[in-house]
Amino acid sequence: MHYKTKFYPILICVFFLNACSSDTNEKEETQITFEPNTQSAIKGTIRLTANLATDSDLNDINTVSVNNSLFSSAQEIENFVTIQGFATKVNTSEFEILEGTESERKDDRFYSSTDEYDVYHAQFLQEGQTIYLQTVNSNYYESDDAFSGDVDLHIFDSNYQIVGYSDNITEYDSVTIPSDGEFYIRVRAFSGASKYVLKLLPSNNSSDQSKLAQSSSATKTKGLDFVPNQLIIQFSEQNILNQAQQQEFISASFKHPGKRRPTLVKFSDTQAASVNSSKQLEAMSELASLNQSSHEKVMTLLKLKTLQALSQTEHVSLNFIRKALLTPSDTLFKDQWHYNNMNLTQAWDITTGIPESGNIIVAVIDTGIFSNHKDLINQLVDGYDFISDSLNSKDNDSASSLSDIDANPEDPGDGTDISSSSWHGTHVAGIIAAETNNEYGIAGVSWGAKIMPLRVLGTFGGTSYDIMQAVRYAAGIENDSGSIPSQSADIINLSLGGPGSSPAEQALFSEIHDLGIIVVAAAGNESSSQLFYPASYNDVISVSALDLNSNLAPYSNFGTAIDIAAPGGDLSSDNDRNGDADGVLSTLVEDSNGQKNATFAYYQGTSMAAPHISGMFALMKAVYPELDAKTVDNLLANNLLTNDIGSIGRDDLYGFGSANALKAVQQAISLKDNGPPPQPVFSIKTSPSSLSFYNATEAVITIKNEGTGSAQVSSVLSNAAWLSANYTEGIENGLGSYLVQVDKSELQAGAYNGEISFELTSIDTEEVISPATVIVNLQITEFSASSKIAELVVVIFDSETFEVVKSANGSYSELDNGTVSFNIDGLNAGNYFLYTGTDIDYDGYICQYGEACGIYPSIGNIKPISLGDNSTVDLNISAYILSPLNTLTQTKTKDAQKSSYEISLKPKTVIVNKQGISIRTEKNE
Amino acid sequence: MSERRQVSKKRQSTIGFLRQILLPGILLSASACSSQQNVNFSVIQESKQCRELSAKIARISSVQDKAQIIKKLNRFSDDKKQEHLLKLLEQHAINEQLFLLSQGQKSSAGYGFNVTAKTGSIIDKTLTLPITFTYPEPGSMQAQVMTSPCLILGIDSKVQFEHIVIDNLEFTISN
Repeated sequence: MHYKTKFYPILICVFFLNACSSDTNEKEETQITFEPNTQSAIKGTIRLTANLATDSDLNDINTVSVNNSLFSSAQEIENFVTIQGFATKVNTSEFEILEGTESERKDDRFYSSTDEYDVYHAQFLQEGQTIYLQTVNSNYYESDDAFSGDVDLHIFDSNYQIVGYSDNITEYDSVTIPSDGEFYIRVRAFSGASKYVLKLLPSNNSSDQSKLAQSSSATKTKGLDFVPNQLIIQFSEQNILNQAQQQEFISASFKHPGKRRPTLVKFSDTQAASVNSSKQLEAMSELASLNQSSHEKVMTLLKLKTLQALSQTEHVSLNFIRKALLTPSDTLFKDQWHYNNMNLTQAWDITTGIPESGNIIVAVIDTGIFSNHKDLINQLVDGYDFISDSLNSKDNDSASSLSDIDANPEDPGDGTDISSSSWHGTHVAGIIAAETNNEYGIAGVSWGAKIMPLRVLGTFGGTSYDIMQAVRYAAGIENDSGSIPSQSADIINLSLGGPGSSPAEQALFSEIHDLGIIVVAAAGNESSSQLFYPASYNDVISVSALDLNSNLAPYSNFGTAIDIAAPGGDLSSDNDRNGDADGVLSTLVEDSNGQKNATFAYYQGTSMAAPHISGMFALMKAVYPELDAKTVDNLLANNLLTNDIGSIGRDDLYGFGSANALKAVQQAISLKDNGPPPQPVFSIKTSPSSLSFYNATEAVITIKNEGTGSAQVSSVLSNAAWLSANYTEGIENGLGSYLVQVDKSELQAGAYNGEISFELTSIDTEEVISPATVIVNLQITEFSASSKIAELVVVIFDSETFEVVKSANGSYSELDNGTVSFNIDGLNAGNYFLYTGTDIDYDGYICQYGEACGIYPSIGNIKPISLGDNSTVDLNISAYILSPLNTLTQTKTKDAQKSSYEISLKPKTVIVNKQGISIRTEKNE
Repeated sequence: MSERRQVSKKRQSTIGFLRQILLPGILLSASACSSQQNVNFSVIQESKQCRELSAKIARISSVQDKAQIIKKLNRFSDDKKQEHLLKLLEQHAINEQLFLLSQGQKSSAGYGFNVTAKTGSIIDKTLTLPITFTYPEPGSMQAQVMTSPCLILGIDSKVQFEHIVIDNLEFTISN
């Protein structure tokens, strides 16, 4: 087979792949000999990155094949490994040969057979580890790849019970390991054929890669608590099944076939999937014999995915086994998707926000309120109108000629004409505390909170001064109204803002914070990282907005001030396909006939995200009335109120993560029961936060304090005899760099966990601060299965013409301590580029995604090799499996789906993409 | 404050918002040789939520156009509001040609329109309406809800024109 472009007829080179087992030191040598015409040569060593392995049955016929399609023949792998693999549901004869290659499809290993399953067996996996799968030739995206398919990921425990799965149709899948132990990892080709990359990351991995599942199209481990052999199907309008599909369903039980509503379809496990190969039948039969329950679940999942792809079905879902959750009777609750996104129904099982005594009051500082709305009329306490300018206020109801402020917070509308008002305050108030379980309208986040409506926004918006007066009133401190409420607010919601800041406002919010009152504000809708106020003030909780899929909403601000994220909606999409755009539904006013009438409407904005958080704090206050602003800060900083989406810990998109009301009320219960208070906010960071040792025995870590408190390292401890850390250089107070070393001399084969703990104290109070720990994973192995690598190809390009001068490939080899040596001679003097890589799918291209690749001197820094007459150059080249799983540092989906990257090379450009290596000269572009 | 605000709004209206073709010079030269005709128009509906991403003027003529506009303007969960708006559009369509004037998607509730009169003027197939766009006051605080302000306009059906000028911006009418 030729690689990349046309090769010279007979390649003149010698290529050695020194193969040796690390156990026996017995070397095998494969030598391809050609007649040299000069004495110049390039030789060297290719070192594969640690923890790299290869599927034992590849499409590349030059590799030795060991069947791994059954549990009984599972391929042993080490922990923390990255695997290049190939799987195909169909014979590869169904795929055309790529243009420009001279490969013969009939030489494929799977030309007339399939490779539907690859089963791996790993011992010593740890709870919280994430297994990632990249379908390199995903048929979700259009491409010119030789292959196209969909590969899925299933995890089984040692009893062959399925414990996790990810059946995405997109490029990435991921599953989190539920407990320590041994597991089988099964990669299944659902359709077509594709290369794949399988990666086992350590738990508590600090890199951004560990968040790929949440940031990309991959999903988290899904629930397996469903009834096997049953699916709930909504057929499409015509409900036309073809003959084969009817056959498939012929003995299945339909609850109410033909009706335009979801029907329950029951079937036997033998009906669950059409068997199209003996290998598939063998794999299914094996699992059925090992664990019938697991087999039925796997078959049900297969059926689910198959039916979801049919045009005759609108929706297909598992028949999940649900626990009773408190569901309110409000007629529009079903449309409030945003509550499920923050686990609100689960939280309501603990508290609905009705306090044992008194009121929990949330001040809504906004456009005022439509107090006659049926869903709000019983939820209000006295408020105030702080709009001081009569033109802006438009209500003319003040007794004073100097200022228009008055005790009536009723919203007269902020528009200039009928139907042009936003009724914004009414919408915000409804999210926080609409009357709930009243068989009308919507549910509020807190059923028991009361709204204190404070009007500050009029026709032209609002002013800082008026808002400051409203904040002061809400907090029960002196203000321009000359009065204070009988009970001050517990929480202040500010779904408003602007770009300007002032020391006076910052001082006020700090004062309010010291009083214990929690202030929540919208982060702004400019899709910008510029600071936005009041959300960006210290002591104000800044809320960014999420869409239905819990991604950052396209309009939402982000940046250094973001504390937490909550649903804000996205009216440009209907991801739940319910016929309504994915906005946030709440109370509103309809005034097209000149009268104010109660209604409900979808809005989007960080204005809608903030009241979800205010309502969540109101739920907490109902359980634990002593909850104050400082405690909330500490809970947030300790990730006790959120799902930590985005980068680990706080990040600029989601702050400390997406709001989780269940966690929040559980924390409130804990505090009420005299549980430990959240730790003081010291932001101690170690970089990296975890280490994995495979071949190496030492690494450097850095510890620093990014928090507001002053901290010092009082001691450094290791919990394992094989693990040590010693201070090398620092900033001050023990913060700085440490050399971590592992001693393998007394250890048996296996996976080991250790921890380096940095004991810390507050310099100011001498209180002990929660220690910073670095998880250390150590893998020691004796078996060599995963050190095998597929056939490596070395290609030499002329650096001026980019013609392929020589290429060589050797037979399958075992690595000698992770290295392969090569020797190519017969070269003329000149300048050359050198590439090496695998072609696991045998499509004629090396260095595609999913394949091992090395370029001299490195992929990110290509340089020509200068070769003189009768000289030899000796090189060391590193190679690794190309995958976004390795290279991604960003968390955004669009980066995760990046399909190629370019390597600048003046005056040429080398592109490594899914098609392989291509080289463009500037003059040709 | 109100006087300052008026000045400020006027200044903003002349410098901002997707300016397409500045007309003053064109209008001056055109007026020298063309007669001006007054045209009555009405604001049938104003809304802050029209789900239009970009600024434009679009003709509402077919049944499908009306249905689409109603769907976009219907922020409510109650279908009765749709029926009300449909009736309104059909009443005005008897003697008027209907247009949707959209300001596009905006980041707060501080955007809208100011209709200063109910009579416009037409010169050489270009209709100028006394409508300006309003923007948030500099330094003001605004409700952080995404909006897409729009007006549904009814213009005398006997009048023929190809362009509409609003707030010194010339829009070519899209169908």
